[in-house]
Amino acid sequence: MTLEHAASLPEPSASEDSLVHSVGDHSLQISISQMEDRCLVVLSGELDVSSAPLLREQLVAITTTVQTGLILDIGLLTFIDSTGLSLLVAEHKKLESQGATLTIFSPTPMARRLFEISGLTGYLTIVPPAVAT
Amino acid sequence: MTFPDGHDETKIEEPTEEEALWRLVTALASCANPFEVAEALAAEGGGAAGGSFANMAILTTEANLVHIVHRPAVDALGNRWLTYELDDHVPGCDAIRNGLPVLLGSVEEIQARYPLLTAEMEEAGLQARASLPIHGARGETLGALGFGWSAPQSFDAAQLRRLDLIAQLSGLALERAKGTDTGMTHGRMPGVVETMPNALFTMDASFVFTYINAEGERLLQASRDELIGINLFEAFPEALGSEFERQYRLALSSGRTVVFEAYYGPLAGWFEVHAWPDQQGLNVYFADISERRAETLEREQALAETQLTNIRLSFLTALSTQLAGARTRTEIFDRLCSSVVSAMGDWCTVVVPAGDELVRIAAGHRDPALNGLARRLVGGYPHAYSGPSPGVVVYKSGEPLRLTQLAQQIVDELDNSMASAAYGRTLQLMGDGPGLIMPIFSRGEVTAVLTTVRVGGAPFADDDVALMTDVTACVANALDDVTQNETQRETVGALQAAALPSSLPTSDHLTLAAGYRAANEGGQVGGDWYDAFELQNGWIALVVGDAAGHGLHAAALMAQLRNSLRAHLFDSMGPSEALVKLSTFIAVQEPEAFATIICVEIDPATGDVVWASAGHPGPILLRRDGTSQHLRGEPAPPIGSAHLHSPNRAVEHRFTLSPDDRLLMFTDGLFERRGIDLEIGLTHLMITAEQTRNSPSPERACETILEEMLLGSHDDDVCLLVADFTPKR
Repeated sequence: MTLEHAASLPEPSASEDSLVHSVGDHSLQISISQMEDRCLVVLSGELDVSSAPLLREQLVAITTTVQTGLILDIGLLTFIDSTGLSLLVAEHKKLESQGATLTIFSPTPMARRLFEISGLTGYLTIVPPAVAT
Repeated sequence: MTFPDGHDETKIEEPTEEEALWRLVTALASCANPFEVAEALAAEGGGAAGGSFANMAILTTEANLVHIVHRPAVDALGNRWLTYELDDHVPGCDAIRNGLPVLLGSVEEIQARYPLLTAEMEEAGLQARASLPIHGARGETLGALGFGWSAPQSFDAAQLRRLDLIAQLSGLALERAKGTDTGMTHGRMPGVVETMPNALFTMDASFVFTYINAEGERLLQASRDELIGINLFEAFPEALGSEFERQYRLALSSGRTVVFEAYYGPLAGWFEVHAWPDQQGLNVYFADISERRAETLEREQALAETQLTNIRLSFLTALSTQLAGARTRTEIFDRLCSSVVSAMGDWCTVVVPAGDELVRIAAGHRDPALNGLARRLVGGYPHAYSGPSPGVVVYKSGEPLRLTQLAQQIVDELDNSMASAAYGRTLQLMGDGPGLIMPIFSRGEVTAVLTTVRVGGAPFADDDVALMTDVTACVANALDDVTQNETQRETVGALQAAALPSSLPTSDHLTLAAGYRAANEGGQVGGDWYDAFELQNGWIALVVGDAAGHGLHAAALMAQLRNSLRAHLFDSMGPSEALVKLSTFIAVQEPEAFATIICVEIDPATGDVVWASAGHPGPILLRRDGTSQHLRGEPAPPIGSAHLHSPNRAVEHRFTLSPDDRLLMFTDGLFERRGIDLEIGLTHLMITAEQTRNSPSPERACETILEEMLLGSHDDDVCLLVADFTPKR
């Protein structure tokens, strides 16, 4: 699924402007590709009360430099708890207030279900917007 | 919640596992008797299951005995038959008796369910076990298959299908083989018995040899021509009056299997013997264990010598690592006990001062069978400061105390009460011997007393006391660390408790019940709450909410959310409007906050319901007609996601309760489990809720649901609110 839709996204190019680096521990891995005005963050593992501080720390640094948008690829997350959810919401609010957008990319069916239960389906920008069943 | 990774279905089998399965199928096809089936299984079954060993248990029809073939992987002695009573508490027998698989995915599970197997598993390097019943064509149980793995197993569906396939193949092979062989009969023995590496002979009821296999000839140092037709006591006169004779006669007279170890002088060897009777006489299966006995003795001696140096040196390091991970006082003392009984003594207990007595807070015993007994002492038999207990003496003096026969010396001092008698008996059962009683200091005061006993062992020497002094210092450090955390937890816990309503509104038409469960000890106190109160117009408002985060901040936020929402709802603005107001208020006051809330209002006169949710799971409705439904609705985003100028509007949902309908509101901790699909969790909750439909009261239903759903540990706190609509007719 991730690969299928990757074509429609700005690929992190290997140009001199791009910067790719990865951080993470055993529970959450974060890979960050920074381009001129936007940023692609790929998460894998579990986003929960114990790993959320790590992501929050990374996002604080990124958010100030992002001008147009931040794409958060969550297709490889296996677990999101309410703290993780609150972090996504907080980032959405922060970017919106500075005129940028947060795109939640490639959620698994279970992540979609979580967004639905939590009333976030219409609130967050989710790509692709719906699952073809 | 867990999202399926989508790779399970396309899992590629290891080629070696596949090959092993084919080898197994081929081997099973040519088996002529049950023993060959068992041998084929033992040889190929482990690989076919992706594990390191397999064995097979065959249920005998006559005597309710279970024979199990063991492979070298699990038994240093090599292949051999073990015989169990069907009632024995081992996985194979349990699988046969219940007709259900026994799945032990981890060492912890093995320890919990079959503590006596733990040592054997460790020795064999196994971390997971499974036993599956083998069924015949008519559904009868023929035996069981055992598997072992050197790594923990999750037993997913694909793996269970594979194990089941092997069990079915074995069932077919066993059934076919039974037609051609009747098992351990006399006369012509199947080839496998002749060539098996274990010694076997059979005798008739008057102790005349009828068969002996090759290994038997070697061990008894006599050929079959010399033995068959000859009386046992004629061939081996020294056996007369020995343990061998006694045990063989016992087997014949009782009709039961006997298992014993005995020394036979003329052959200068120790033998482990299994003898089981049948109609023709006695089957005797035996092995020379002289070497094993010698090794065991040597090992014990070597161990005793190194114990004084290596074990004690590493003991302190291991202990401080153990204690560093403990989050509560109880955890510290529990870990202390298990460390102490593994290195310093056979059993130990810890008492702490409480009021004007010493109360036992932890206990442990080296012997797993007695550990349960030791742990029953926890909380019981307090020592009054005025009493004669040696623990009190040490508590008051702050000096270590050594006793030569600790249990006896305590019992001698006890009064004649029933409680004292039970206490004394427990101490004696745990075993008597030299005891060492140590004070544990924290901030200059004795904060606990540790008692250690060596059952029948050597008295505690001065260097033991020195080591234990280091141990108690280590414990004191760990205690200081957790005291600070616990104080904070207590504050948060108190705040949490204060935020929950002390009573629920009562009405002739609506019966309410609610439950709150904190996360397991050591977990965080969270921000879950429920609320219920009557509105000015006579409706009842029900609220369940979950403030994100843990600790003091979440609890404080929760209290604030609860109070604001109460005020809004009380103004009769309806759940949707109240949530909008709250959302706006929070956007200004607590821009970092995040919470999910469900508000439900019920008219007790008519059963009319209005509800709205801000990011919270909808209620479950159990209808009187037996149907049930999770009301999903259209939740607004959580509180904390809105901007000041664009509040999120929650959709208001309406329906009407019929008499005897039951409504459940809950927080996600009730159904969310890491590693378990969100929908499965919700379905589990609905099924559990349906099973309580006949509970006479919502209190009972609430308790049952919490209990059933929270089996095992839960690292989140949980709220459940139950409302029964019971209008007078």
